[in-house]
Amino acid sequence: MSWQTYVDTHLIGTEKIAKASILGHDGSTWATSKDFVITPEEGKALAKGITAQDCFYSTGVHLAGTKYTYLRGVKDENVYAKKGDSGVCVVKTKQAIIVGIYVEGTQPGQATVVVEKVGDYLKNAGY
Amino acid sequence: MSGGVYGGDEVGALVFDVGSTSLRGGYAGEDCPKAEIPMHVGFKDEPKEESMEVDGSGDQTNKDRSGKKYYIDTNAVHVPRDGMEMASPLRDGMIEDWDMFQALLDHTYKKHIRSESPLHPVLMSEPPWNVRGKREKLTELMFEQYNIPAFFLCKNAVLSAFANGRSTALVVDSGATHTTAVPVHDGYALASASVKSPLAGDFVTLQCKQYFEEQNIEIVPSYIVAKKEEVGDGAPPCYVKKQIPDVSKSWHNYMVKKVLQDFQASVLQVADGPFNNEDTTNLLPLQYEFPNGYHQDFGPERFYLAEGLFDPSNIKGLDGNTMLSVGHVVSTSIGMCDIDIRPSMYNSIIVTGGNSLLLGFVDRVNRELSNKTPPSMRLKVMSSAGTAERRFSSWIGGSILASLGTFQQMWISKQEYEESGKTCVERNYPFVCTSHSRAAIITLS
Repeated sequence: MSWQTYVDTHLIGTEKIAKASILGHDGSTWATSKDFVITPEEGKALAKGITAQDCFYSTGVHLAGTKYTYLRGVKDENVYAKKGDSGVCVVKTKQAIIVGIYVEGTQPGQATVVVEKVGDYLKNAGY
Repeated sequence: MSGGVYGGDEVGALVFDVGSTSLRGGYAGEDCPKAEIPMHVGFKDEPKEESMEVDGSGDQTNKDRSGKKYYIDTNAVHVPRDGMEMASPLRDGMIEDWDMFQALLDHTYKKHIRSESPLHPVLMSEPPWNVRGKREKLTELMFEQYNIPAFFLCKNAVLSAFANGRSTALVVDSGATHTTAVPVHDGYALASASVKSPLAGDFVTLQCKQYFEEQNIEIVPSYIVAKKEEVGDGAPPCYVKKQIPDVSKSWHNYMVKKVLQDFQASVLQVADGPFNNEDTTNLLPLQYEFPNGYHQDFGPERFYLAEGLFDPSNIKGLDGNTMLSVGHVVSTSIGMCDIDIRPSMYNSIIVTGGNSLLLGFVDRVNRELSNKTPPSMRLKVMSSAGTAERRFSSWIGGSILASLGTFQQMWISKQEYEESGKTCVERNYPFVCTSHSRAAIITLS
């Protein structure tokens, strides 16, 4: 299964996630949904930030040109951030970083469960 | 999710707000809690053999597995008993003694809720700095021991914000054990930017205690006094002592604290600006009579005993520079927030908590902050006028939240718990105020 399948079927396919990407730990994009481009700089900042998280408090989380306000996160595990009624859930697995963005109409609780599930699956599969 | 199960708004949910002074419990949708039970619990170590007591005999006690006998609720706690010690199940706002906490909950269900726990979903408050282990343990306790159908844990600051009709605010909660400032952004408590300081109600009580010791005024709680006579202003009290059992030191201290708290609530006042002895000497002194009949006028003391909250630099007996004053707590917390949300924080600062009821507290917060607010920001300090609204704000917020139609899909159902275990409480936590529920919160409150 290619990375794109995870994005299309398991994230976007649930209809809870509007935009999604899977990145490597170096910040490079492995797969992404249509019209959702995380620049290499943003990817690098995210990959770096997720290991410490301190920098997010004041700068927020930048993805595809949008700034999300940092809410909470667990070092090296996940990051939650939001902007208005939309928001983002980021989960770090052994080799990848999964980014899922939800928009108005979805409860964050529902969206995070989707992203965390994919994360758990990948972690268990060794990725 | 459990959307199908809880379709309607009316699910008979219970709301518990766990504070360091008391446990507030009641049904969601009501405007104040049904019960307020002191967090401090009396207990005796008793051998197990004696535990053959008939339930419902009217005496409000509970026993647990460890053979301790608990005395819970105001009436039971205030009776002098031989060897009864006082303790609280909380430390630092988090549950530490689970047996004791469970005894408290048992009591609340039995005496105040008077209904079976499996019939009601439960929404409970937690401090913003609560740790994962405790959160999971609480979830486990509620589902396994009380068999509740659904559960939700929410940060108390978020609930206080909801009670004031806001989903974005900076909540300044000055309670008994600490004063905290917690930024709430769209229904999320930003725990990373919350600040707390021990300068709160208990600190003021301690200041009063020290002051009376210096003045050689003995605090005699009313349980000792059998009869008292009228004496002149400042004259030594003339009272007859009651025959009482050999009470423990911790219980005596608890009763002394009650007297001091009463003094605190009826006499103390926060000065308008930084305290200055000359300014206030010609202000009206207040008379206070202690339970043993001793009474005198209190003038400048009224102000300087509370001054430590806002100006820790001249607190006696401790290095004030290590403490954060109420004003500092707020500005530090906002300073740690994302720059984009700072204006909305300054714009809605909610002052709440029992200690904020000190006369002049809110005005002083307003004054301190207007000196610290950058000119580009608009400052707005809010607080509800009523005593109950201020003391129970997080309970009221919980009551509003749990009765919202849009909230019903957020419960962690028993089924979900059984499928994914206690970690579900971590997963499910994020709750957002959609514009729809935001409107509902504002109309309800």
